Amino acid sequence: MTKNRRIMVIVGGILLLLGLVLYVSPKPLEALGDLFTDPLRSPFSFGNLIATAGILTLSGAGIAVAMTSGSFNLGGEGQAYLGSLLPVMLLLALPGAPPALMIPAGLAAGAFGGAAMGWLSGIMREKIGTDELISSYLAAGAAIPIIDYLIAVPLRDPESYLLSTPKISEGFRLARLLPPSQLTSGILLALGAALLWWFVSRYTLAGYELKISGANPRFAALSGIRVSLYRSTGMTLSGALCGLAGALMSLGVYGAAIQGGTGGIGWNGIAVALIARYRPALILPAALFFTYLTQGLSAAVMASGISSEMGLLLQAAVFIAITAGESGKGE
Amino acid sequence: MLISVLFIAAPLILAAVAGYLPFRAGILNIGLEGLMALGAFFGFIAAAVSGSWLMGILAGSLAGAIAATFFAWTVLRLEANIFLSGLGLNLAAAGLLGIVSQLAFGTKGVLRPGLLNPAGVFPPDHGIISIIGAGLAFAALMLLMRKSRWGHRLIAAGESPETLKNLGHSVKIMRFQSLVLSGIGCGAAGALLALDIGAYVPNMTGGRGWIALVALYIAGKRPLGLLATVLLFSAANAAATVLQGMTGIPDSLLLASPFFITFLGLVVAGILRTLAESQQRRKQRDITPHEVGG
Repeated sequence: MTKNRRIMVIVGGILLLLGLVLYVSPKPLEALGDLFTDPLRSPFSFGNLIATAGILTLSGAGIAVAMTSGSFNLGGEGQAYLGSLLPVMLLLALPGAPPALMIPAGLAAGAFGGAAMGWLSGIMREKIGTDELISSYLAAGAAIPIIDYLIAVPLRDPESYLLSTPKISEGFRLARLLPPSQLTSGILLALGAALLWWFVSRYTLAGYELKISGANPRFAALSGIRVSLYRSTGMTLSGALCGLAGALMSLGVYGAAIQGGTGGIGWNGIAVALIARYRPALILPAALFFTYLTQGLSAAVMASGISSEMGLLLQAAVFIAITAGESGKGE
Repeated sequence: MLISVLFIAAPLILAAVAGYLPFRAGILNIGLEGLMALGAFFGFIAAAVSGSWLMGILAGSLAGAIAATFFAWTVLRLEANIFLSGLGLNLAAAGLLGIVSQLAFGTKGVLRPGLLNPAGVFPPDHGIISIIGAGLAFAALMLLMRKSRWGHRLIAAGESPETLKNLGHSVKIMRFQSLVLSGIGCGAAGALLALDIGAYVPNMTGGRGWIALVALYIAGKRPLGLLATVLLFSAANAAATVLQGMTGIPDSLLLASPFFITFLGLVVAGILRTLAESQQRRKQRDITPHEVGG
């Protein structure tokens, strides 16, 4: 029953969202057209599609790594946000340093910020047995208002009309590949990370042990694998990838840390990981597919001013529909 | 001071009671936050239109119950993953509320009673009714779990579903009932929030659903422990608000404090539990050689 029902649920979700789009649009047919063609209409929107898909590949891979190791990372939002702020702070503090050195250092700072948050939840589970799902969410919930404040008050660029830090110098920004779109050389990093994760999980001992720890902790423990270590490592890696995704936003897309600028990276990453069913080779296509849908939907309802809410509904539909027929887990 | 702590605690107690039922039935309802948000929005609208706080509470409960029914349908009938479906409920609530607010009122921002009710009358201060209501809800919970058959069946649905099935009761129906009740409780809790302020503010739940969830996680199966944890969190939050007024810490940072406090609570509870467990193990180890020797 499960397969048919899952297809029914997915079709039902799509029809529901389409119905909503038609209902809110003054010109339903045009909206429907936008939905399918907007992401491919111009080099600009195509570049944005690829750029966003790259960023979601990173956070999607991050969520998938945690899931594979048997942990649940709900803090991607906060990890990405911290990951967008730290590199900007570093690069603003050292404006004269050579870019060849500072760009990797900035990316590393972003990954480090996210990793630290993920590690915290992982180590708490390992040492004192607190559920990483709850602790990672709470850590992000506490971090986000603090980062909001840092960007809006002490670090704010008074010249900017946005709530944003000052811009980092042009030399530190990732190279733009298809201006004026958001596509930057960061896409290579995303591809590299996806490839690396695929390779590690398929061909290395560590990847195998990580998978076994998540899939069958009892068996893994009896085989002498340190399950709890792999679990917390999964959380740390997951945080690092989400932080890196945030760093790509600030160093590539904005050239500054913007309040709320990385919103959605964590939740969308979960949706991407789910669509890919946590399989390393499917993360990239899943990110492309999901970004295409999000961008199309948001274009279709642009006139009604509810683009971001449609995105939330799409995520919700993915969360519910993809796992239909999977009960038993988490009970 | 005590009264203000209780005021903060009232919606939290309701939400925690609401979360307790499905938790005992074997389902962790992560969607508490979304259910509260729905209750706040629809509770506010009903209260503003009718001018009666009771209508607000009823409408909020109804909205929560409908959403919880949907959630129960995805979990029990479609067999979706409980955690992800609950997260989906939270996201869907946030998205839907934004869309409804935008389409109906032309704004995604704060809603004031004047928008719905030209005279601008909003139910006057409902006083300590929220505190009494929360107290009654908690007392009802204690009574249900201790004395009623239904409560014992609920526990069986969580602890030993097989037994319940063999006795001829449906586990799914028990879980369904507990989820709908949790929707009603959370909806009422959300409506209380809106009634307290006399307006609807987006994100006004501010993580309270999650705090209730953490209290459940810390207190486990003991209702009194749950009450104590919720009161402790509320007192800490009240203290944070007072401190903020005295020290001039920026308002925006205050948004972090409920999460921060709950996080600390989680850490402390985890450490205490780990210490207790290791002590127990040590005790057992001390006894064994002695007994073997004797």
